Amino acid sequence: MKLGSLFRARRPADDLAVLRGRFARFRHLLEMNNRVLKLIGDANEKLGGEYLFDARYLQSLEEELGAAVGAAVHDLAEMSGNRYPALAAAYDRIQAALTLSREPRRAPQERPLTLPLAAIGTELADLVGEKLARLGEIRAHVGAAVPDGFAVTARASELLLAQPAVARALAALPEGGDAAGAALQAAIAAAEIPPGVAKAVRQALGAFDAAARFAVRSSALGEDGALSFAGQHTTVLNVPREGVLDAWRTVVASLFSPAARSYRREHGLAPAAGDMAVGCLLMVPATASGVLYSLDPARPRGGELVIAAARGLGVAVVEGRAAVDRFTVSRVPPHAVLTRAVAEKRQRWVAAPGGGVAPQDLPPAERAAPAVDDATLAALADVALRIERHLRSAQDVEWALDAAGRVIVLQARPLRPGPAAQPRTDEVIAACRRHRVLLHGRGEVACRGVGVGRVFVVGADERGAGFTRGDVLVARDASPRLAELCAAAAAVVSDVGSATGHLATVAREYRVPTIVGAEEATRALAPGAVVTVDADENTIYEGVVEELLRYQLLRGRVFEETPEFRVLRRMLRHVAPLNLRDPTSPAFAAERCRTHHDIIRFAHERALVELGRLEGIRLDGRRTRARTLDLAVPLDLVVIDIGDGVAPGAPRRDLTRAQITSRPLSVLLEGLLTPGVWATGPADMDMQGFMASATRAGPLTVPGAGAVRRNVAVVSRDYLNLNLRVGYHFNVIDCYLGDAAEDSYIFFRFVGGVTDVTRRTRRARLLAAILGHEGFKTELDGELVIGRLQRVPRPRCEERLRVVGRLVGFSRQLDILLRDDVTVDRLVDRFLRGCYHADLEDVAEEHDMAESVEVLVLDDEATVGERLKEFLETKQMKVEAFTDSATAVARLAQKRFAVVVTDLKMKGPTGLDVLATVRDRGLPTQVIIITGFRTIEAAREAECVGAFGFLDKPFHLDDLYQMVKKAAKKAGRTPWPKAAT
Amino acid sequence: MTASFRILIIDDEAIVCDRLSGELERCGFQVEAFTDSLQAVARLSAQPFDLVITDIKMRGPSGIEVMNHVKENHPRTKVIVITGFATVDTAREALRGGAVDFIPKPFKMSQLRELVLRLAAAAGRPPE
Repeated sequence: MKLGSLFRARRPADDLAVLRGRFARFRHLLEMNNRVLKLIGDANEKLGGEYLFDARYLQSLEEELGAAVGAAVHDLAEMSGNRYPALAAAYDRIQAALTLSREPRRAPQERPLTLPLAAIGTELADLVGEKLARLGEIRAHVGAAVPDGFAVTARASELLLAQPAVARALAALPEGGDAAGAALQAAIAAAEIPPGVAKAVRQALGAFDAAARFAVRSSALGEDGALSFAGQHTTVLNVPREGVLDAWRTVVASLFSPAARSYRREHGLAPAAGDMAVGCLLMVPATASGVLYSLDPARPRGGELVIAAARGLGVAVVEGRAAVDRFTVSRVPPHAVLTRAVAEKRQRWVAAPGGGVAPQDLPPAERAAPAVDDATLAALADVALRIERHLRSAQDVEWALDAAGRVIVLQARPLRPGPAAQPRTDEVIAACRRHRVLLHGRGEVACRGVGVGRVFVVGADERGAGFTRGDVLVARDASPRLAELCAAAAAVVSDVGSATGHLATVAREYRVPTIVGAEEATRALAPGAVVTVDADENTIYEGVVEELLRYQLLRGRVFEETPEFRVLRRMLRHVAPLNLRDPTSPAFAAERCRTHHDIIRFAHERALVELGRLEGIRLDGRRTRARTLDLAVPLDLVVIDIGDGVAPGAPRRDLTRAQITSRPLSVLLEGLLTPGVWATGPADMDMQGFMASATRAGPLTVPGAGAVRRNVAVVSRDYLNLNLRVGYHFNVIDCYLGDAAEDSYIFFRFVGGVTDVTRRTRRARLLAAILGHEGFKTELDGELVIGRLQRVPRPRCEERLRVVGRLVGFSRQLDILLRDDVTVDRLVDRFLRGCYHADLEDVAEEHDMAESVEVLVLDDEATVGERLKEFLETKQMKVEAFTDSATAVARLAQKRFAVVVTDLKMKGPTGLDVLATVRDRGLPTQVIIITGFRTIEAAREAECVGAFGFLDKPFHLDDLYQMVKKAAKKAGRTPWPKAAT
Repeated sequence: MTASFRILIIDDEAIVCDRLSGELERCGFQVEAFTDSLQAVARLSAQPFDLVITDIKMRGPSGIEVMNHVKENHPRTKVIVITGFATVDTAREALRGGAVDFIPKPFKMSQLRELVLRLAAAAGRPPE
């Protein structure tokens, strides 16, 4: 190997220092990577409504993300000699956007003058108004048709109102009364349209046909929000392209119409307040139009929708200008028509050729016919209930029927019934008591809300044939393959899975009430049974709890529409999406990073490459003291020791296994060399497999693969980084075995293989299945498998590393065997049976506790202390129990306890005071605090002050035992100070 | 029939007041919420509550001051302290001052619900 010749001047110590420095950076970068992914997961989970957070959380989220991603960018720059300057620029851009998204009103960059409807969701309500935000949300997530169009944002109206003449009139408004209002409206009508607005609107109009006609609608900020402002602002219909800007100005001016001003006065709003966003939406050439209420406001308990309809455009219905048809329709599919009052309709409203709308006489023969047929009424009911389910509140929907008979949603707003119709909590509670509880308090709430439907159970590998929209999806696992069903489900319940998983994220996106990890949902919920899923209280009831459903629909408090949730959703748009997926694609570039997730993914991938970049360092020479390791299998492995990874007296060239003192390398080799794992010949070769292998023997397109000339293990006593090419399989194993459970990790990355895509994918699935079974978090992307194991105690981490060793050998023989998916399952099963037994491991752990542990238990309730004492004594621990914390603190000065288990809240010194005492005295004693309330944050806090852990009341005794055991181990490793007895 | 368990919530962030009061009302408790701690103290002087849930850092009287007021005037009222900056010192101060528990924000609604239900049950006044 000649690459090192350029650096001949460098001394051996330098090469080692370079490697050591690089690995230190790499490990730090991995740590940042994990931190960022956790922050993203946690933040995403908060969109489900189960967490209560406030503006301070959003600020600290931004700070913590910024710090961790920034550190990772810095690490990569140091590792690579600043090879990716564009990454720092991308970071700065994203940080700036993140800051602005928290304070939208001060952020012109975040506030374009126009936005296509396709880019709008509820998180943009304070830019485009509630009405348009909701329409965008319906378009994207409800699957109902809405007219195409764009928003002219509130920022555009600010520019108009800032024009000097307008601004003067606006300033005079508060004291000026009606005359000042009229003067202001006149000033706006006479104002020049700001050139920036004119340009942006013309550009937006460019996307539409020259003959297109628009409905220009108000969407004032706050309109249809806390207050409805129904009918207070102007809508201009049937506007040709050239008239859109004038219509926009007219709509903005309607902010100050006498009606709007008196409405604001009545509701205690400032007279000059108001930000007007405006929607420019394509006119629907409607054959019929109308308004519907998803619940009858007069009879909200009745279970029916109210639909008003007229022929032609909806002017007559909205403005009450003429007689219209009225129907009530059942809320229950197939939505039978319950009552009908068909009016004699003399006219219909149509779009006038020159713009605007005009009435047109109906031929007498058509006057008595209903405006819509029953099928249309059912379709309307279906659309309304879908919107209602997504927006979690009863809706007032303006609709039109296009020439093809399709229902088009023009706008939707929450329905606000009077106080008499408001649901009462005592009725809700009483109703809930009447229904049998099928499941309660199991698993985690991933997204709040109430959903009612028929149970549809989908098995572990099924795709869900027979699922119908509105069913309650009940699944064994929370697999991403269910995402599509999830979007159409009334609620989702899964036996396994976590609130930070992919399915949970999709559920929150579609606002579907979701409970994951409910353990026995597939057993407790019978297929076909109708249930009510209350994800607010994590309870599932038999049958339909009407009162609960109505409570959700009418209580008027939708957490997704609070400002904090909007800000978090906006922030996450700059954080969570992953655009850089394929490391082999040219688009996988620093300048393409648009989110923090992209940056961290890019930094991580490139750091692996940098790690394998060993030019300039003579791997086999004296400079790194690289030594060949003799093994029973042909691995061609070179070992570089960066600190106590090789026995001191070992020879300078060739090593034997016995001379490896690196724990992770030893453990991995144990796995790899397990008898039978490294079979020499592939079994059962068939012709197809052989041909597939033969045709894909070309160079690998694996990042970093080209840079690695031999198999290299960089080791220290507790650390292993192994770039291992076995045949055409490229493995990266990075492992640190730390003393604290939080420090140990295994990172395993696998890619490559000579065979067809199907088999490679199968192999990846097999590896992911085994890793998943062993507790790894796995990422499966085609033929790439990444497995991560973190936060497990060291013995378990070692055991898993042994499994990885076996897998590396095992996977070598696989390609040819992977004939079909059944074989994959069988191989997984075989591997797991042959090499592993979970129970044995627990037994092994028990043996570690040879010595008896001294424990002090402190709880001011005597029965609690006695109970804990009894229990721990059955585990061969020596326990003293106290009810008085002052006495216990005194006892700590007399006797050595490995572990203190204390209540948090007591008369006298609290659990935290006890902890402070232990810490102040420098005792190795580990303190476990029992508390009535705990969160991840509290646990983190406990770590930083030195508590071993927090236990949440009520807890399982076995959890306590496990924690005490671990704490005792930790205590056992620390010496007692001289001063202490 | 016992009188219902009355809860007063104080937090200068409106979202905390809104969501907590909705949550606890749905459990069957009687809830009042204030974003202004001065008004809350005035309300506490006029009317005893079974439980006060208060933020620590606020404009006006702090959570600790609210707690001291409660302990002086209504020693039987329980106090839960919630805080965005969960430092151990504030937690210790809160517990020393007589809070039954402290809760770092952000927190899970289900956990708070269970804590309050437990306190109400311990007081012999579970929701109706």
